[in-house]
Amino acid sequence: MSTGSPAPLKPGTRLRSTVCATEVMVIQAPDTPVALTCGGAPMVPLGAPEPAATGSGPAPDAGGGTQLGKRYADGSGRLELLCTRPGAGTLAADGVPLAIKSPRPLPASD
Amino acid sequence: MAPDEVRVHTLAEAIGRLRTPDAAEAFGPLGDERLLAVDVESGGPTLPGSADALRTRLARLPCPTVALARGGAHGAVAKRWAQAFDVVVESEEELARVADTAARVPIAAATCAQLLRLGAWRDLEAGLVAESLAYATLQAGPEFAAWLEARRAAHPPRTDPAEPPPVRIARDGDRLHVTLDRPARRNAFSAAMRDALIEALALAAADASLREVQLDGAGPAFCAGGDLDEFGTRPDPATAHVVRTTRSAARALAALAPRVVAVVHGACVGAGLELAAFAGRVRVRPDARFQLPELAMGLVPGAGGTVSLPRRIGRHRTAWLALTGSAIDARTALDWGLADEMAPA
Repeated sequence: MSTGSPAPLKPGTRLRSTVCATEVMVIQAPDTPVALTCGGAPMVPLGAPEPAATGSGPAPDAGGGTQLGKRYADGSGRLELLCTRPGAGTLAADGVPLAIKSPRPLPASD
Repeated sequence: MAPDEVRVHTLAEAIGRLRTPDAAEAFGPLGDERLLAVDVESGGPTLPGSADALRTRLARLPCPTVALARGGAHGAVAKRWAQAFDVVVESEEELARVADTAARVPIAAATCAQLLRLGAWRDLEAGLVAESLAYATLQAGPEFAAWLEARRAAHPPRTDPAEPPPVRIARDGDRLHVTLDRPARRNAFSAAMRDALIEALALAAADASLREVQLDGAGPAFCAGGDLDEFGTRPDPATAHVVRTTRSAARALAALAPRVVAVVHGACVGAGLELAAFAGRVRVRPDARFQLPELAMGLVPGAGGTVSLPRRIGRHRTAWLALTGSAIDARTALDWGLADEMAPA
């Protein structure tokens, strides 16, 4: 398994999985490089001339799936991705799965 | 109140009464008359005075001001004077509906009229803040308290902690399909639905490759309004104001409006109507019906409707919907510009 792109991520960058349909947009990223994976395989820039998906699907331990419109974040609070297309793989940064970031709970206003 | 109990002033009478400095005290929740109704066809074209001068005096009244124009709101005489008033009615029967609201909930009726007079809806943020302030005021008032007490006695609130997500989203190429999905509750707009809708719209806001967002509702209705089981559950009216202006589905929809098509059917009521009206295009199915029921609850529309509706149909028709509480059908919505196109049944 490759370690992913060494350059820091930039907000607005769009990436896709190579093993499932997942696509994400970077909302926030740390200054340091992050190895982003989906389904256990490195993510690549959307539209990059990469070989077609292998068809092997996500790794067995990285098949939790992504949900359209959900934000995914790491524990640092500095990395946040928006899922723009859902897929079968689990998003991870440096090998650590990302968690769905829910909006801050606000009460009803009626 | 029966129609014959509503006093209808001639223009000359109204102008005379409004000349006294304390005229406002005779009207509204604290006065003897709950509204001022004027037969605007009573004066004829030679009546001295201008509609602008009349408008200035009418704006002081803490009650709805109603122009009765039997010849239709768009007749020459009505047009000359109607701009001075909050609402135009074309019959005694319509007047009676406004009078009934003003009699039952005079504070809400006055507040609704005053809110629309501000014209804050011309600026999105100003309009949303003004509406929320008015709403908060009424949340603390006796008319809403009375409604809430009766509601809870008749319908103890239900909550379902295991409820599935209230909004469904799907992507099809460059289109995002957002569906309000509480069909068993006719898509009653809850805090959870608010948050899920805003989350869905944030996707389209971030991803400019999504060229169209279709907003519709699952089940028998687009959206039957706010979730009545949540009414009265806000922390307090002041905090509720902050919540509304912090996380606003209206703001999120307005920001995306050029890309949003609302496809509405069945009940499109209260928050459902208010939010749909922000969409750049509103497509109606023939069974759609539209209504603003908030005044009967002692409130004003609180989901942005006093911004989105005046922008589409003007302040007079917005006031007509709010003050009469009447429903209009798909055909009327198209005629008024509340909706833009008819969809197949």
